[in-house]
Amino acid sequence: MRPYKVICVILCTLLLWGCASTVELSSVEHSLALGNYDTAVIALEGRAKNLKKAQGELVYSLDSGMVQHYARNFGLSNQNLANAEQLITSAFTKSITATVASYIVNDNTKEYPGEDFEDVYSNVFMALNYQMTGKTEDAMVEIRRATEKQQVLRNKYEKLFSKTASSARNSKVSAINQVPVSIEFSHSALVDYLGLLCSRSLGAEADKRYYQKQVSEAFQTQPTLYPFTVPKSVEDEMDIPSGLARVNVIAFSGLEPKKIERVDYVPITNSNWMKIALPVMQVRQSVVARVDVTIGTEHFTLEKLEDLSAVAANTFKLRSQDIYNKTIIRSTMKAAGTAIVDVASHEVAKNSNSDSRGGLTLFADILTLFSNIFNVASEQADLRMSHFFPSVARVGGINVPSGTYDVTIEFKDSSGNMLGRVIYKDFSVVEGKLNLCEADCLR
Amino acid sequence: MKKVFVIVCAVLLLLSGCTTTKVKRLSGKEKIDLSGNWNDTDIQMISNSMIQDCLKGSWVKAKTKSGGKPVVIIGVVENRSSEHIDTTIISKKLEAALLDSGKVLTVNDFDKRDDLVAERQYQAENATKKTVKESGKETGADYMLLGSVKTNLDQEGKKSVRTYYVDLELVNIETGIKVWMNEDTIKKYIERDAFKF
Repeated sequence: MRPYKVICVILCTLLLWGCASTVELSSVEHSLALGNYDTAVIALEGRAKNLKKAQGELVYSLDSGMVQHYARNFGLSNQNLANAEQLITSAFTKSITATVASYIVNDNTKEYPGEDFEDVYSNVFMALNYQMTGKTEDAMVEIRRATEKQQVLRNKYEKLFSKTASSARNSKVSAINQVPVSIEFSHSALVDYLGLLCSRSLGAEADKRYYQKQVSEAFQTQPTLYPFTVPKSVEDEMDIPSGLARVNVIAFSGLEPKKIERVDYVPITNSNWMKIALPVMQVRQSVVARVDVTIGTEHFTLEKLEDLSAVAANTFKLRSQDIYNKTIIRSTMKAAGTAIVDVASHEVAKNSNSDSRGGLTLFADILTLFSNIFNVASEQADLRMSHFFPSVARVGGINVPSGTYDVTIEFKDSSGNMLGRVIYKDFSVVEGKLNLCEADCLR
Repeated sequence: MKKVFVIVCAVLLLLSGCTTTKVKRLSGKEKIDLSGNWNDTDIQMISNSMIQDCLKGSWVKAKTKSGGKPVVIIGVVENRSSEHIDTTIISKKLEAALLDSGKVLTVNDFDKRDDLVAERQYQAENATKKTVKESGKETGADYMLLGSVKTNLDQEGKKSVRTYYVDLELVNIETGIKVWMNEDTIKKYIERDAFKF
């Protein structure tokens, strides 16, 4: 086989290995926005093969886990989310070949390791799945697991931050575009709030107090992520008057941010250019501005507890510095390679005899063109991430006598227009138990 | 032709190698750790140490209300860990060991009481007078076994130490006095590969 054929085969293989990671999921999003969760499950399962091919098993498991959760298929949701958690754990061991390829082609050649917020929030939704099936002790296991992960993340961020800061000081490349990074996500108020509710239900007084303190601390120590006040209901959760039962409502709205590609072209010479393709998180604005609850004759409004989108953007921010540095190095190498090919091939053509000069110059032009095409085609941002975690969590609660109630949860926009309504008919409220209603409006 | 035959055989062998599920019987005492999570080896270690200590306690020889052997009911061993651990395996192992010792009696668990009541009700309606079992004659337990499993994780990159704390205690049901308690710890050092090919 001729050398150029070998090169072509290698280039094609690399291109195919790191091919685009985008996938069309608008039909699922449309069904979710309308609250047709069963239809969303069908739509997602119909796209499962494409999704796995484009973004991998992990993204599929996260997406399926979330959509099944909204469809109240709690067992299936847990299966998928547990699988996702397992895949995130095993992705810790990096493939050497894929890592090397990621320096030549793009980051899509590597196994997707999951974003940190996906890892933590998987446990939150597994906890909710268990709670919805009456398994509070198992829900608490998931809360503890999420708490453990956050402790590990705290250490990781501290190390990563000092590494990035030192590389920013030493590297000329990073000085081009690096912004000061402040990573603040060290614990989630949502995780702690659920911990409070579950431990109260299990009669674990010390744990209940611990988690309540943690909620307050999350707000105090992470003002950028929690620029709103601690929901008043958190305090009310602590003491339920004797003879009354507490009804808790948790509402999720909107969808998590999505990664989009930002492309820049930097000219190197007249005929060569460098393509820089970076993943950027784009927030999807939720239209839900208010969530009202009616239980019997009582009314109350839920308060914002967590901005999951802000957490997602925050945890991605520090990693994005590494992605940026790596992309610059890779693009520079590719552009330099093309420039060398360009100069060398034209030099050969120039020094050849007049008979073959014309043909060799054409060959040199084609080679440079192909090299540029490879650079442009292969340089693609890694846009892999889950698609269906919610954007905002709101909570609230009320004390009522034990009994059966209709619970109505209404999602409204800023003008007061109704966007969605969830009704729990004949919801049984029992003293001493966790009577939790969840409602979702993913608009 | 011969060459083609050899290639076909080689391909078939390779394919068969891809689809075979291997099963190997292991002895109950064999120690195997795959993920670093709570497993059978931990249960064996905890149970053995707890059982020996429990049976050494003075409560075994203490006088009971009935004057006979002490009667124990297995209460709840709470899972307060970050893993989905079936704690009944530990308490059942301990119960079996207590019974085997011949020094202690145990009574029916909480969650199986309704079955006994239902059976007695059935017998009252359907069994002969000679064989029917009467209600209100169950033995009241003297002690209740309670406990919990907790975990702690210390992780840095590919290295982690996972510690399991298992505590069990026997409480005198009438007085609330703890007559025996023990805490055992299992510490695991887990190192994951940073790279693979």
